[in-house]
Amino acid sequence: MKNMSGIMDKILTRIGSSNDSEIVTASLAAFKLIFIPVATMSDKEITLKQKAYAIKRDFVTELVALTGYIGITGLIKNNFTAPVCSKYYKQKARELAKAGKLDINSDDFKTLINTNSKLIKKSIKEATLNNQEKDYVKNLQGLAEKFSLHSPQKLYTNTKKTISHICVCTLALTIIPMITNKILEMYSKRKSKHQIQKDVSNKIYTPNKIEKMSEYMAKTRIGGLNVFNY
Amino acid sequence: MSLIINALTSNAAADFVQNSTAQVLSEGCLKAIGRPTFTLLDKSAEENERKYSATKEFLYQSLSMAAYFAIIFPFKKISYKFLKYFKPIKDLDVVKAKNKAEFDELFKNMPEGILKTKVKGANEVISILASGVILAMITPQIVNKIIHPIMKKLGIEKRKTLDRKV
Repeated sequence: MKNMSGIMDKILTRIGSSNDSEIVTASLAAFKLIFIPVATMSDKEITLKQKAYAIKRDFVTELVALTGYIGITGLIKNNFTAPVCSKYYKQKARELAKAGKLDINSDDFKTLINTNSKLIKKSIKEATLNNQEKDYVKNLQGLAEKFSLHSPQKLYTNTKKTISHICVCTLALTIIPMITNKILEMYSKRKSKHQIQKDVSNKIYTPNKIEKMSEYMAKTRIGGLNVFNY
Repeated sequence: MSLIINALTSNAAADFVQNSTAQVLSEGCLKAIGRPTFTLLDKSAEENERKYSATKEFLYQSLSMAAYFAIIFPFKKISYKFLKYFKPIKDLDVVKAKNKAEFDELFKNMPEGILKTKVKGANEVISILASGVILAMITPQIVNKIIHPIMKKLGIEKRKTLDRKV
């Protein structure tokens, strides 16, 4: 019971401090993974084939969504947030120089233009920084205050959230349905191949079947399975 | 390029994507376009299977958004009442608020820190659970009821019965 309370505590703190898109969308995908196929099953006006396809598609889509939202989004936000933050400071340095607010030979300009993306990422957990790194982050924070820019921490958090949402949207629009199509295509091919092999071993040779088999083999180029000379 | 960087790093974008309502709605709208399109492109299934699945998907996603708008906003006005079920925060004053206005006032005046974060987190958890019930349990049942009349109107089911007769 105490353990449960601890888990609840962690969940509330995690979601309260950073409600990233992938948490919400992945939780909804988990709900849909169970309830949407169940709802499709209860539709009595469709043929068995339609029902089977719809259930298969719903289940695979939500399963891909669940893993994709957590895995791919996590991977992208962890690898792309810091470089975007670094680009932000470089861009701001150029803009400030162009506006005449910053001399291109000054240390401030050099600090901003040579922003270390790894240190921005690291600055989120201040305890992991060594003294030299702490000084660098402090310097960057000072510059951000001086020129009204985002502080490294705020910048990293903002960018991470936005990238995570863009990634979720891209996954929802194209990647997930595309992967689902591929999986269903592979499954369907495999199923047909097994059916032919089963029919051949059971010696079911109706003219209709043979025609279907040869059509399928011509389409998928299955080798080493000559039903006519069996 | 600078526009993209500014958009990615802006406070407004970060605030927008932090809101679970905005997240569900933007993702749902994109799904309403993407999923039926790819279902129709799937060559591993027969035409009537694809059409049924794509129509169902489109109706489901569109209806989800409508149901979400219709239910989640009124629900958010009473969602604070469910905060008392979260053990780590159940003794806080903000949880004992008698109405939404009082809750908002108490929450606003809470000092920034772990307790405020937990209350915010509990609110989001309630919102996620409510979304789950609306989107995964209520909407699919409504879609089941309306899909066949709509498919008949579109001529998809009619063609199926003709195929059977042939």
